Amino acid sequence: MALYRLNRIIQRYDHRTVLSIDGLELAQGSITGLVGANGSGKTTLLKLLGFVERPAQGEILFDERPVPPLDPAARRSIALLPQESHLLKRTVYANVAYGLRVRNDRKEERQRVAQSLAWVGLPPENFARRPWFALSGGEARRAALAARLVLRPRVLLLDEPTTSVDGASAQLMKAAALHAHRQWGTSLVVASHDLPWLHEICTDVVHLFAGRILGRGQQTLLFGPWRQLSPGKVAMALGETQRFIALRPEKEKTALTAAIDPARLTLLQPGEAPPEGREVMEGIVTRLALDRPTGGIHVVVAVGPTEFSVPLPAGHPALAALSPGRPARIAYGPGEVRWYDQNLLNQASSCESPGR
Amino acid sequence: MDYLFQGLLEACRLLLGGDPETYSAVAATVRVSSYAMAASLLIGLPLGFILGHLRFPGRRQARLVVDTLLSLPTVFIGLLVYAFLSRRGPLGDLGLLFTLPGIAIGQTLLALPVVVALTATAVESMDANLRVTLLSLGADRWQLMRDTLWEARHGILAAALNAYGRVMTEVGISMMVGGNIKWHTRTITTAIALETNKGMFAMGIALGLILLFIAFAVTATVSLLRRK
Amino acid sequence: MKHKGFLAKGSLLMIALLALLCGAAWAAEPQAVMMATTTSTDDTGLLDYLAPHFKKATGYELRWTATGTGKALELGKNCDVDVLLVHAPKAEIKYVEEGFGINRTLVMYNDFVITGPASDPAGIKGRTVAEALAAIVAKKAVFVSRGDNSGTHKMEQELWKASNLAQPEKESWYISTGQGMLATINVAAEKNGYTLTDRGTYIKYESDKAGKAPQVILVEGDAPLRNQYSVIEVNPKRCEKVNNALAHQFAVWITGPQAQKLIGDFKLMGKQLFTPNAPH
Repeated sequence: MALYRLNRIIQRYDHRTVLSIDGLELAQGSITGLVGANGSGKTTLLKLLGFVERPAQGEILFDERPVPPLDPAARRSIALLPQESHLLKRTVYANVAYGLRVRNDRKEERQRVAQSLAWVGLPPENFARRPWFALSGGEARRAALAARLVLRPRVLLLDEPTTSVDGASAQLMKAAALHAHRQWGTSLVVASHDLPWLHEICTDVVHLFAGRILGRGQQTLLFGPWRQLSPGKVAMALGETQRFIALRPEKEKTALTAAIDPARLTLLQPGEAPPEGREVMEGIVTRLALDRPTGGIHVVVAVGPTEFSVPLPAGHPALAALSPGRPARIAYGPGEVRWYDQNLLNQASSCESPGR
Repeated sequence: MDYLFQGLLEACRLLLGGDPETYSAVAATVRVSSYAMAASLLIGLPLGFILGHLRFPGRRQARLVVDTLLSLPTVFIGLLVYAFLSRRGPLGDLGLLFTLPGIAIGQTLLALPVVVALTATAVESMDANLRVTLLSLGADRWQLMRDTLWEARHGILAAALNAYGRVMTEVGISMMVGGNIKWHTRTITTAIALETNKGMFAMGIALGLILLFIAFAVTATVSLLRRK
Repeated sequence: MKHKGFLAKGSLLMIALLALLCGAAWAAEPQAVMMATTTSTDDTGLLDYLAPHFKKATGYELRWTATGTGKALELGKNCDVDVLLVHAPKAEIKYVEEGFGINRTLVMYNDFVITGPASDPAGIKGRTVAEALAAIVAKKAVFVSRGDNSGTHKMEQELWKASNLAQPEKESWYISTGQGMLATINVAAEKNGYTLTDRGTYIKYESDKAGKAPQVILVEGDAPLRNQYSVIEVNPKRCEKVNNALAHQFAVWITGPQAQKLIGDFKLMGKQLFTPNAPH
């Protein structure tokens, strides 16, 4: 049974389509990362998952059931930490206790509030009685997280929790979110630009691009600009010395993005020649990450400014020679990229709203 | 100019000397304006929330109507309410003409547009993330309204004070609906109008000062509350 | 902090409840006769003087709203009051003929006087009303009118007509205040103009000014200047809700010997304001 099931979701703001998802399922107890540039639809998707917004079209099933508009029942097992976590004009204590109070669940309120403040590193004796305006940015963000943790939600939706907070706050928040997952089996959906963290904790990563799901897993997106290389090929520069070569897409479009799946990439042993028809790029290993679902290892290689993730099964002999800082070569097939049109959604929306 | 000084002396004499007529007018004023404020807040806060928070077709037009009603002349409201409450009017059977509740009805109509318009403005000016925050913490519709209004409390307090000022100082409704009946519906403002008509300017000024004093007491109490 | 939200709402509810309770309390109040009258009877203090006597004699309270005669008659037409005490005989007779009122009875009179500045720029002192008004027109001296359709205003219009003079509504020297009698006298004093007032209000005015009144009586005692007050019961056949029993009781009382004597004894600055003349 899926926790969430999204069917043909479209969301529009002022007749502009910002999100269009044909289908998405999230499992109970999973940790899902949402990756994508600003404006790719991460926040919109989280608001839909939190049922604080309704989609313009389509339906979202929670526990396989539709949720009526503004119905608090489903929302009360879900806690969303919005990107701009707004504190109510009350004390920190009242902010954290707010969710309990609207649920009319005031049993041992004091202890529970104190406990969740402690989880996010805000000692209650110092912070509980402070007014909302007497907190730093990072403290306010942590207080907002505490207000969600105190609810012990089944689902915790975090919208860029660690953006624009200090390093210490970010660490505390990451730990608190994982604590919820381990302690209560809370399902997490985390939108973040912090890819290493996502790769470390997530059971699944969803890539969003211009309001669409580009794929799941650890694929790399190549935004261009794409330069004509030969009649059949285009290339994108990766740093100063490297480039990524791809077969020219069938339809000529101005702004195109390529996606390459990690499964299509192979690591070359030192001195190994690339197989026929495959291109090679050279980079530096930045880290090794455990892929929780498979137990395999992700080798993350930076080529210029772009990171590629290459999976290796656990215990693979090549791993011995791989550690962060070492050079690595990646082989790939130029025909194995998928192309996405960056203007697709905007074009579609301009057709849908002729009046504007 | 000596009216002013005489007025001040007279005001002290009336207040400290416990002049029963003055206290009757003060009591009528406080009572009737309290009813009017209670009613206009009870009706106006939800309406103001709806107007400021929800996006519905015709909202702009509704806003325009409310803003226009801010300029309703009190004498016009007085006539309107009289027409309804008169024994030959549709609500004549209630027997509310020449009573304080009758005046309160008129003053509620006077205060309502102020409360609605300023509440809507206060709610509109709230952070756009407030709604998401409240919903994301599990608020239902009613809690969403209650707590949005609570977050907008400073703006709403200003709205209430503004409305209270209008209600306290109006004379058209009290005169037309209340009839300025001594010991019953004579409020401070109708008493001022009467004294001025009688040429007792010092007395009028004294009563005006008493009204100001009440307004000061109310405003001071509210600003004390606001600090919390 | 949140408790205060509930508190605020709670107190609002309390007030609303209180309002309902008080509403009930009002309903239970003893019966009172509701009268519409003219500003002159109220301004002079006559009603304040009579009301306790009425209460003592009958056990009922007298409540009144003091307005111009025009509005007082209108309140009667709308059945909002039980009884009228007004002074516009022609309008009253028509009112009764049209079936709005019954049992019109004379109560008392005072007389109108023309007041003006002691300097008397138009030279009207001691002359008849017709001569005085003609002199004011000739001199274009300032004349201040109630202009509020009150009994006094109606009387003034009749005096212009009786003196064969056009209504000077649009003349620049003619000021229409739309206010009560005392306010109008004060305007006349400010403008150094003439005005028509009932004697009762003038005596009150003179008494308030403690002998230093800028307006003095210049024309008085002429026959057209008599100001007759009458009591009229609002027709209960038109208005089921009016309390005609009380209205009638009041009408009987105020035209009876006790009230008539009280009216004759009512004095301000040692001067009698009203002359009772109810038919015996």
